[in-house]
Amino acid sequence: MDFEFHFSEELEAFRREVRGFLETIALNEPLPHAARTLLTPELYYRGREMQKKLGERGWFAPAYPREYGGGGLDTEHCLILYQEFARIEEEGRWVLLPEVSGIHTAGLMAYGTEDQKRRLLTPLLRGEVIGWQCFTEPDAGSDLASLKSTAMQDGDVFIINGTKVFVGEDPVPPDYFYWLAVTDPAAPRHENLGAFFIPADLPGIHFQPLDLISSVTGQKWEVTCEDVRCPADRLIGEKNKGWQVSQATLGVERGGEGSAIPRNRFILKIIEYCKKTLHNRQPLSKDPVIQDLLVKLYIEYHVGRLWGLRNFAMTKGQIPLERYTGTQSYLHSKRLAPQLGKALLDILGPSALVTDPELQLLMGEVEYQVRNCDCTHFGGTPEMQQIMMARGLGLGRGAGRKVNRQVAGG
Amino acid sequence: MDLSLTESQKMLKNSAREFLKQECPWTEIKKIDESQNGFSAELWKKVAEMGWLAMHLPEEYGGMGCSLTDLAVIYEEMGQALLPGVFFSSSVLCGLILASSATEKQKAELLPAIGCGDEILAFALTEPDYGWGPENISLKASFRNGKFVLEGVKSFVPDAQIVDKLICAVRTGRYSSSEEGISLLLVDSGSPGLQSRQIAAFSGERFNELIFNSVEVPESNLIGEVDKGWLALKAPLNQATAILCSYMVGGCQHLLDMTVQYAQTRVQFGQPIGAFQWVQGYIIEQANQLEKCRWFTAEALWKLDSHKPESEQDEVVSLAKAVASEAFLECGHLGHEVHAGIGVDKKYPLYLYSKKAKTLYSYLGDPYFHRRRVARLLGL
Repeated sequence: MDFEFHFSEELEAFRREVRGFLETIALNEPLPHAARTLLTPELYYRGREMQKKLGERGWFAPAYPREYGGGGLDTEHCLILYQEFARIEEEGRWVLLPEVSGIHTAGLMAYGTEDQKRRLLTPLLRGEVIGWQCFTEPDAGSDLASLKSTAMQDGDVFIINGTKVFVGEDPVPPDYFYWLAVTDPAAPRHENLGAFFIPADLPGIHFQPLDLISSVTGQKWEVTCEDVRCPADRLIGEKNKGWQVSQATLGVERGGEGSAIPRNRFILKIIEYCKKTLHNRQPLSKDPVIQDLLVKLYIEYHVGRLWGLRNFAMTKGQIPLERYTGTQSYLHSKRLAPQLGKALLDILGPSALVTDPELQLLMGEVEYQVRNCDCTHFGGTPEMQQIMMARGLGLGRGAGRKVNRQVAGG
Repeated sequence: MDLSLTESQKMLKNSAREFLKQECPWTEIKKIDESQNGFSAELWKKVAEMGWLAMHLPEEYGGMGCSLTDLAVIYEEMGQALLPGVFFSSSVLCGLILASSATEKQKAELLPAIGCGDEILAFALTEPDYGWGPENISLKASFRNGKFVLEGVKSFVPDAQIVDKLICAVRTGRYSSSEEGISLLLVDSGSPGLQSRQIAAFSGERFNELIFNSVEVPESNLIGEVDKGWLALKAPLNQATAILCSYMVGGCQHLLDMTVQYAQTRVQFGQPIGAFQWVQGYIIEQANQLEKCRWFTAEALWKLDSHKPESEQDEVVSLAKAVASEAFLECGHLGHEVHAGIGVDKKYPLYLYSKKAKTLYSYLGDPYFHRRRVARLLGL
């Protein structure tokens, strides 16, 4: 086994190239946390410029095929790219991350026509357009398949009606929606939906920003379609196969490289903060209870890091695939959030809640973590993750299915 | 970065699994657990014949010079099968201490014998005032007329009931709590003045109390330098702890597998209990604990094998043991939650695993001990 990455001189040269380029697009000064999670329109447009510049080099979707606007880069090059973005973030500086929604691209790659791949996928991978995934509805959260939005065919258009909530992540509307709607009200569950790439500038679309206590991915919106006439060539896959399209995952795992970049590095920052900050005339970290809290968080930081490496090794075929591991990592980060939030309150008291620009701790990241520790539902609640993980373990609906249990590591 | 096992490690793993399946079904482990001395000479001999006791020992002393990661492959399988700890005590713990600090003469005498199983050793560090730090070692050894004379008590010593020789950590220096002044002595278990008895306990290993009443040990039985024993223990204790963690990974894996299987087949309310989300939640947590234990341990072994700086080795080993102790205990507890009645019945193997988890929880340092060590290393 080897837990370290070793890069050739050619790859290190690529790293220098990436670093040089990022220096030309990243902000120079650290950006307070609140500002980087809820972007102002000004920063948002700046981000879109960065996105286009990345796209020109194929670095906005580095692992995707070049013929559709991706970078066609191999694992090592992608990893270096992501490492360099992480380095900028580490410095508290802001740069737009090359995160292409795998949900959008997977549906298109698996079910889109060649024409759709050219017209819809390519600009997306080049960073020229932005789309919002519009799945969740007021009465369809975890039970997504019960959604009510409709898309009734009328010749060469579909007439879209319905409301989506908790969608988007930008201060202004996007270029299109990736929208799920009922195409056949009489058909059974999972066989009644269509998946659409709806242009966001069609008449009949209404936007309402949501006023939330927190969002880890930016400004959320409510979007309503009122008799919106969407061209039929924006339907992805067959008319009643939208569920399958929405559940598509890429044959080749994308973003495997991302899992090799440790998350939750905030824990390391808070440990350093406690070593330097005095309380009752001694460093916070001298208190034995605080020490133990910090070491427990430190352990969880390493759990995330090690499982990320494990998942990476799994996508590379180094170790046998276990069906539950992807969800396990996701579940871990969701369960860690409230543990971290509580620890911050235990260690720092009400200072952990301060947003005052002069008094906030670690550029506001402490308050951000405490605020967001109750926001664990995005991308699927922890309970939904548990259901999926149970299936991966061969329980519940997965019972009787063979769980891959070869010799571990072999 | 490559987390795969080598081809030879995979072969080793498969052959170990096959061997243990044949030779060591859980009913055999139960028999050993219920025997007077918790020992099976027959199993000892078979394992020794497999060469597992000599794998990691230096080649010049009859060993195979394998890496810790190689050895851990075997110990993970031993943990799955729940083999008794005497293999670990003698070959890993004592073998590693001797290999790193003993004189040439001591090595030549003992290591080949340990490696082929002719000699069985146990390690005595802990005392009635239990703990794994230097401050917990107070058994006094005074040097008189060319001999060490030992006065005091060792306690919770595993495997002392069956061994020929013990490695004892004793206090030769004046200070009673510092790292300075600790020495390692090889003590014949039949020495005059040494009384030993088993402590009755709900334990997966036999705990022994050893009372030293003017026990004389010749100077030639000193391992390493006088008063420098704690320093000499550091590396072998790190290495042995990582191997113990891999044994615990095996234990966790077995608990998860048996619990999944039980939840798939046990029917209540007309369906397999694995269909109930509460039950699923317990098993998911077992899988979480297992995967934590597995990867902290793997990284610890890698850092030891690749000779990373000492502070990194200390940290990663302590992280691994802090995690492994919690993980094995929790996997056992959750296994009981899912199994309910049958879990406490001795005609089913679960209790052997949860009992072992409780025993190993404190062995070589409990989670708090290791978290404190990590705190010191982080400069907190």
